[in-house]
Amino acid sequence: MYHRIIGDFKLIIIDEDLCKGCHLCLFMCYKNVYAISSEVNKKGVQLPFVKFEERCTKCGTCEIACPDQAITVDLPENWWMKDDNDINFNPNFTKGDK
Amino acid sequence: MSQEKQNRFLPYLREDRLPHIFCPGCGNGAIINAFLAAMEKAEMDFDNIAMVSGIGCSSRIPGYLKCDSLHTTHGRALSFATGLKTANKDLDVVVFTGDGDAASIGGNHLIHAARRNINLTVICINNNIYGMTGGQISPTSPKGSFGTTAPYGNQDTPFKLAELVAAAGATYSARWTTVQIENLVTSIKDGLKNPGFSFIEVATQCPTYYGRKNKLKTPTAMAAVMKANTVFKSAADRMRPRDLEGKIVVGEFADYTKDEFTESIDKLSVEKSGNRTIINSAYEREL
Amino acid sequence: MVEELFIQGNEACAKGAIAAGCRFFAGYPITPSTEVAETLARELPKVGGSFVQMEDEIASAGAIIGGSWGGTKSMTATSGPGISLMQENIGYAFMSETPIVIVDVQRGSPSTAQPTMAAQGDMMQARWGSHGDYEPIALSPSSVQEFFDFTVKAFNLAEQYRCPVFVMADEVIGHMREKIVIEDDIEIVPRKRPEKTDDYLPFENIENGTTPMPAFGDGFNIHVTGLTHDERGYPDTNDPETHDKLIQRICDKVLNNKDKICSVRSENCEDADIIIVSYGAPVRSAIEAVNKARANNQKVGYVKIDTPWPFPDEQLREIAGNASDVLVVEMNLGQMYYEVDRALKKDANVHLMGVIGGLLPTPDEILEKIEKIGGN
Repeated sequence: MYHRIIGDFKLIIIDEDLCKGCHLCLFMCYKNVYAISSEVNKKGVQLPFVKFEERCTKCGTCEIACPDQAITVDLPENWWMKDDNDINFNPNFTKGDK
Repeated sequence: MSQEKQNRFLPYLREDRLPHIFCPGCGNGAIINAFLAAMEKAEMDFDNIAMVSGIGCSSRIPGYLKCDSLHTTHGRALSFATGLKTANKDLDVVVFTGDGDAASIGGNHLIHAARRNINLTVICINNNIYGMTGGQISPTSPKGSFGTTAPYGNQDTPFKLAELVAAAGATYSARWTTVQIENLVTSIKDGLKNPGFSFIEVATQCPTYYGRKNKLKTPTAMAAVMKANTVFKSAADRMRPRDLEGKIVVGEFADYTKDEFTESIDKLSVEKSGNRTIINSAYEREL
Repeated sequence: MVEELFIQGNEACAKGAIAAGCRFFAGYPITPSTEVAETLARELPKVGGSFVQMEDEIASAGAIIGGSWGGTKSMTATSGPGISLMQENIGYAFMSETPIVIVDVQRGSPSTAQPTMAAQGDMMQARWGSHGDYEPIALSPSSVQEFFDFTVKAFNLAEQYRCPVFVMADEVIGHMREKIVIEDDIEIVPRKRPEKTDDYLPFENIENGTTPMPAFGDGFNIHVTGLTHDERGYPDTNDPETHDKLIQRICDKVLNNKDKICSVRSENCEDADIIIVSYGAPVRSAIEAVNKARANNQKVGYVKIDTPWPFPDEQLREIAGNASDVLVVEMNLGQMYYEVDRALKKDANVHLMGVIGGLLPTPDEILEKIEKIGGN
């Protein structure tokens, strides 16, 4: 499996290998949870990091807005379903058995 | 506590092809996420989705999604999609296209697909520039903007795609930007559910070419300008045209129902042959 | 039950398509091929098929490629200007190995030229029309019966070799009315569905070059692209070896089966001094010319090329290798002539009788030309 993060699980995980450093997460987060780190990853990208975790409202915007699928937030699967959260997550989200 | 965690969109992606080719800060990646979220919201069967795209940065998206995908010739995605949908109308056909692909070389196919009201969902990623060929102006580049083929500023007037498609007869047409991500998800969901031609134009940032040529050097600067220039349709309706110059009007431009193309063909088939149109007939020896 | 009909060539083509299992047609009106579209618009809904009149020929070619990946045998019909527009998508079909049938009812050309007159000016466009290297299959009917038969054969070849197949008819055959006989046991080649295994590769480099093709929606989740792709179908545009392997296989799958695909018909060639080589409508005049010449004790024979592409050079060498002169009769200023010349270079003097203007060369005109050749 590609990019599976193993380790201490925090509220927001940023996959350092996937991040390309566009910093749109900083722009999109209206609670200003993120900040720019002075460290760089192996691509030479200045990574964002979670500076104010306590501000996070779990809106999930950064998760969708991240162009490189690098952010994962501790939210119920399919959180965007909101009203009907009872749909179980299935990688292929398939109803038929094709 | 040690836990395993993976981004929730990765299971839908062809992981052996990642990381994708999109530049840092390109909106295409966010639109992939928005589409996947919308698809789940619309309760679609991912295995039943077939994607068609043309040529360009945006048209590379289907190659990263784990479903049947047809990456076709420049501008012709909608004609391939029309054939695919007509041949097997049980498929949910989604078209990813860009502004050059849909509005310039494929403009004719776009308005005709809208006229037919064929049940396709078209996501047009409008970055105002030809990114893959290195920053030439496109039919949606704002007047006065710079590109490699417009060193003195664009002299042309840009197309308003969502309005054009709505006028051509699409039953769902909307425009959003990558900044209004929740609205975009809802809109794609509505488009997927709409039994007819659905067109969702997404204004997005191209920091590498559009941004660099137009003094907006970072993705965040582009996103900030896009956010500042956004006017909702309800507000735009009350504004004078000259106040709207250079603004991005977002909202829904068409949302109604009328006869769908493949359904009409099916009805005709029932009338003439007694049966619905047959699918997967190429594999049959006896017909 | 054997069915006998007195119909037009274009109608026969449409009937052949339905008999071969074609259930999707996308086209754009163009003289002289329009009757194919008209007939299919009437007949397809009666057999559960779909007909779409697209906005132009580019879209028509695109739609049938989409239709084919949708799991339906698909066809379009057009003429000179239309086939020029289709070329980019035809190249795409070769690259993505999509079985489609393109009927070209040729008319006077170049450009708009003579919409209602016959010509054979698109032969090289069928061969080299799209950019790059590929090996097309083309069939050339010379009667209404053959227009029917060859349309069926075109679908079978397309499915067998997973590639576009041209039916290169001309205005004479398209608009001519003749009696045809439709047998009830027409051989149809259905598409092969691959087995659902984990190691299935849609563009696998297998020996005969043709992998089974799934339809969209079958759950194979394949990626089809016109970019240079590896065996999985994923783009790999910078590796010279991948490109070489892919294009070589696309060409080889047709070239290695030339003996099965190519077909020629000949008569009176064993002892002939002069052999007429032709294809399509001029074959009719050639046959009559040979009959007249033989009645006159002239040693003349004819070769009819059923499959201009891939060019049957070996068969031609075998049949015409002993003749001193070969006369190529075609309705252009020399296209297949160069192929015949290439094939027979060492064995015979190859002459061209190229007729343009829209009228079929008559048997007497051919005989006149033969007289001239016989003189030297």
